[in-house]
Amino acid sequence: MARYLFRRILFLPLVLLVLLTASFFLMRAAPGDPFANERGRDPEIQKNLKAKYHLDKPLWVQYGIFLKNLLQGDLGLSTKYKDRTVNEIVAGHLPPSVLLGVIALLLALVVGVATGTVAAVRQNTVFDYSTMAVAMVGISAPTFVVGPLLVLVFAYYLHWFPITGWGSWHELILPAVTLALPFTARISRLMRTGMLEIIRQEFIKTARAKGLTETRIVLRHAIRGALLPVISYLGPATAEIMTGSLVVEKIFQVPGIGYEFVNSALNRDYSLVLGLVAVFGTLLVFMNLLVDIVYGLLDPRIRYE
Amino acid sequence: MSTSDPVKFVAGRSLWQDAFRRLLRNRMAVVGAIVTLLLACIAIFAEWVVPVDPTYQELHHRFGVPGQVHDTTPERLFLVEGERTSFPPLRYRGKGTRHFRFLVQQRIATGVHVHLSARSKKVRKIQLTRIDSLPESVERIEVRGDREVFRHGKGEEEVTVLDKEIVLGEKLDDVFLPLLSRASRGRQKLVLNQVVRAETNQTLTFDLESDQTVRGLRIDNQTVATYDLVGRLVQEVRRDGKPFQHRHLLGQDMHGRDLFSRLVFGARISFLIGVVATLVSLFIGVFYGAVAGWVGGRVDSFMMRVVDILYGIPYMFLVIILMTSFGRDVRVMFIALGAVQWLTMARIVRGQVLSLKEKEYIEAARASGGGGFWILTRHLIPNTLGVIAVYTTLTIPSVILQESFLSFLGLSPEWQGQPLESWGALTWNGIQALGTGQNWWLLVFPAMTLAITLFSMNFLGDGLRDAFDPQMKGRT
Amino acid sequence: MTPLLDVQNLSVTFDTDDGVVQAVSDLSFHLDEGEILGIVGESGSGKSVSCLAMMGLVPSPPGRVQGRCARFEGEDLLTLSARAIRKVRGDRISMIFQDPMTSLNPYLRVSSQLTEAMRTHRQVSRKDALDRAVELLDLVHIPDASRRIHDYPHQFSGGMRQRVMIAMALMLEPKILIADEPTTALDVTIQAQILDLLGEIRQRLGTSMILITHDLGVVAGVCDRVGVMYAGRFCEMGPTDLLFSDPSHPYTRGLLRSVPRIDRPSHATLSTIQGNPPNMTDPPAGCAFHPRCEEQFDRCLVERPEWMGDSGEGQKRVACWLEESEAEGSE
Ligand SMILES: Nc1ncnc2c1ncn2[C@@H]1O[C@H](COP(=O)(O)OP(=O)(O)OP(=O)(O)O)[C@@H](O)[C@H]1O
Ligand SMILES: [Mg+2]
Repeated sequence: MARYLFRRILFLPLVLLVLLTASFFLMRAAPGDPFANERGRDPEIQKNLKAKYHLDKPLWVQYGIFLKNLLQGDLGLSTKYKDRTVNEIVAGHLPPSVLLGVIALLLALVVGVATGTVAAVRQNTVFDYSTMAVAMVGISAPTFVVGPLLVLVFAYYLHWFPITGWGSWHELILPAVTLALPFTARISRLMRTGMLEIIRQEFIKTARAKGLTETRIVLRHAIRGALLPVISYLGPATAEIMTGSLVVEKIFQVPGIGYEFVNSALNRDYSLVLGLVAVFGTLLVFMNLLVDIVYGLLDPRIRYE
Repeated sequence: MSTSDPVKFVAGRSLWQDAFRRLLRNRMAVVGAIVTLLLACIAIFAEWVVPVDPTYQELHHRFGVPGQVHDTTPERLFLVEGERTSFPPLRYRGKGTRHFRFLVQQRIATGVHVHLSARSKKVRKIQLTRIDSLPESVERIEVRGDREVFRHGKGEEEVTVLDKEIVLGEKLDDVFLPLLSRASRGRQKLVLNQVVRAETNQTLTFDLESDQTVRGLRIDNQTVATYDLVGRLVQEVRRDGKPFQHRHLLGQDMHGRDLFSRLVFGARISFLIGVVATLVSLFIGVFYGAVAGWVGGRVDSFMMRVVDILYGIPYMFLVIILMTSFGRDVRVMFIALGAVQWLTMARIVRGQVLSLKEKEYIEAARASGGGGFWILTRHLIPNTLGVIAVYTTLTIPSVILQESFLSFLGLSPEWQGQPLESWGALTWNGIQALGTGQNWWLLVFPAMTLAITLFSMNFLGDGLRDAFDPQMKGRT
Repeated sequence: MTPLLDVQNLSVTFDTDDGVVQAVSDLSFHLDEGEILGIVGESGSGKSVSCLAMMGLVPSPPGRVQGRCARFEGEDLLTLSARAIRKVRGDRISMIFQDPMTSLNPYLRVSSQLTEAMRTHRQVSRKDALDRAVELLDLVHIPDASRRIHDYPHQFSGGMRQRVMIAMALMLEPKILIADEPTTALDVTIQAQILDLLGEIRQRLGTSMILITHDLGVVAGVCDRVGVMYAGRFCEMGPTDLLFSDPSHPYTRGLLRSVPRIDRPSHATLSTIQGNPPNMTDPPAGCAFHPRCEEQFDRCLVERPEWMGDSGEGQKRVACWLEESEAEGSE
């Protein structure tokens, strides 16, 4: 387990570094700079501004400064909102995003695992077919299709939920459901295939021969093995949830970092974009590490490697 | 990821037939294939499918409800004096001979200079011939050599009729086209009394240059359309001047544009990006995977390690950064989205190459002195083709999805400064125009179109994978 | 004396895409108290399915089980409700399977897999169950049982895992232990150890066993009685020594001839039975073995041989027309 985790701990920051480096150089490689659009500025001020953001230095030096500050937890000053640090902005916008993401993930896990398990146990029944059909819809229909349609039906016509907004729990439901839907669908499918595979194993026959009830066989003998693919999916799922949050926060006007990211990219707010990428990347790395640990705990063959 | 034993893809026809039969037995996959093909046809033949130009604004019919039928009356043709503008290129293409006729409204005119330029050498010649059917109010009285006398509301007029062939050379040709004036409701309308016959299968650009110039004209064998300065369609009328009727099957948007037509052209953009970006990813992935698999050893493990690292990256963030820093040119998008998708392809190709490398016939080819290239083209490529084809089909919908995602975020691709509005952009427009929910069609139709497309393509892709690669069944 | 288990006319079919598989047809046999019955036959002859059918473990669909009865301690296993037969399974009849590598759940500790049958069928505390499990691991000669019991299956070797399986099956002192090819997946020395262990257990606990195998050597070592199965039916059945010394059915003879024996010179060629096992969706008419039988005659092609011979103690029975003609001949 220790060796396995160690390998992952070496590996994951590498992902983060690649992400940050790529973002940094992509932003800088583009023609122009964030102040170019601000007309009527006199060259002196432009120069001072550039100096303040180190934009006058060679690219590698800028990169070094960026990494050094990042390691100290300093994400720099926003180039757009000049009086605010990126840390402040992140601190303000992170909680809604995290809340939304965690709720969506939990929702997806609970519903996905439950439906997938039942579908596998009742394979080739109406329940199985309808769950998998719905799951196919969930996978195929993108967040930005489902979200608006949910808003149309449940907010505009049925008035069950507010159209947009943030603050109270019932403003949370539609965005969380929208965000969770594709993951619920995928987890449900993964769970079903995993379960079917496990149920065909010899050790399930052994368990049956012991006279255990079907429920007990599923809950005790089958679910662990069947959960493993789901657990490993949670790593990529986190990345997808982050991507999904970009549109969900836009549709529902959630004041989160996803919404902020798109805006800052459009504004070419160098430090804010990089800061937000760093936040997303770090969250992702931690989530992956957590997934690895859980995986190791579930699979003794890895734990005792 | 372990892929199946490549032996299954060895060219043996029965295996392909087998796979095909398995595919046909999968009913959802067949439905998916039919819908996908239908959509592809619509995207390819968009011009023939749409009832009306998707950029045509009926400003007096904003937010038209689905199903309405509107007349377009030819009253609002207009032109401005003294400006030189060029027509947007003819959008409607076709092979063979086509007839174009100008309908120009202007104060006084004896003719216009038409600056004919073909953008391709494939346009061989343009022939100007006399017109046979005249507007009702005009009558041909007499033909005197190359001149004809017409009578119209204001009297008689003698016009030189061009009846000659202009062969387009390297140089662009200027032609003087005489115009026949026609009185009409206070203002004068002039009918360009010539039929321009162009033998072409390429885009033709007509520059109209005179002291009375329209802002833009598009003419085909049925319709005449005028454009404003920025190239937006202002009016479209039938050549014979009769009202032009449109049924707005799916309603109209905030500018009175026909939603159905916009969706049809959106299909073209979505499919185009899906296919081209997939090809880009195919190129990178096949190359990378083949090299890794073929060279093997340390290089291989290093290259695959790189792929592992890249797999962990949330790509859309990079794509968004790329699109915002380098502009939204559609070519940037092709590359950006292609670069996202190549990883899986690289892994698959590598796996195939790796296991094929061990196969006897490769050894045999080696032993008999076949070079690396020979082996590559004779054995590896044919043998990996099946898997590659399957995963290519699976990639297209995910690229379409990502493109729509970006469009939805406001990062629509652009071509020559014009936004290319795909289904994602239309969905976002739909949300913005939703009002209090009464303009539902603007959201529901684009969203459903997108969903149905992805739905069918995923079913098709799944079916293909199950048919060609049964061991992968249900893995994803 | 009524036998412990009395199976009469058991049939199992499977509905598959290629037709109905007649896996077991009209099978009758009995098992006495404290007896080890061997069932031999080539792959696909229906050995496993017939045992699974008695345990109510044939997956349905596609399987269908029919039969007169399978009487066990006053109950008919074939007509018991799902819930009732579950009470029998793992308690009074338990089963071990061929491949010890896959028959244990890799995600659960051996301790919990050992104790769960006990905790399901009896009201026993965790502690007591665990003690009992350690006791059984000792019985099956797992060294350092009290510590090893907390390990996961992958930490055991194949032979040890099969011992664990046996210990697991014995937790509740079942009346019958069905061992479905318990040694096939193991190497030869381990095989011998496991077989010795089974014999020892019978000695100590008096458990009746059905030992499924296609290895006649295994049968000779431990079984009291042997049934030879072919195409879902018994073709010969009787006390081990009698069957080995005087095989009547050509199939049994063929099987015996294909076994390497120490008492024969090693260079003597081993003969194999010609031909392939029958297609069970469309078994041959008459005697199912006739296409491969060297001694077949007209009657074998059309009429299925009856079960011939005495049903009495120590007698052999056989399903072959040769037997009848021999009997007639001697009369
Ligand atoms: N679930 C099933 N579906 C369809 N056919 C089955 C199923 N289980 C068993 N069969 C068929 O039943 C027949 C008997 O199988 P069985 O497992 O009893 O053979 P066996 O004698 O135990 O062979 P082996 O020595 O290989 O274990 C075979 O022809 C097999 O194909
Ligand atoms: Mg068996």
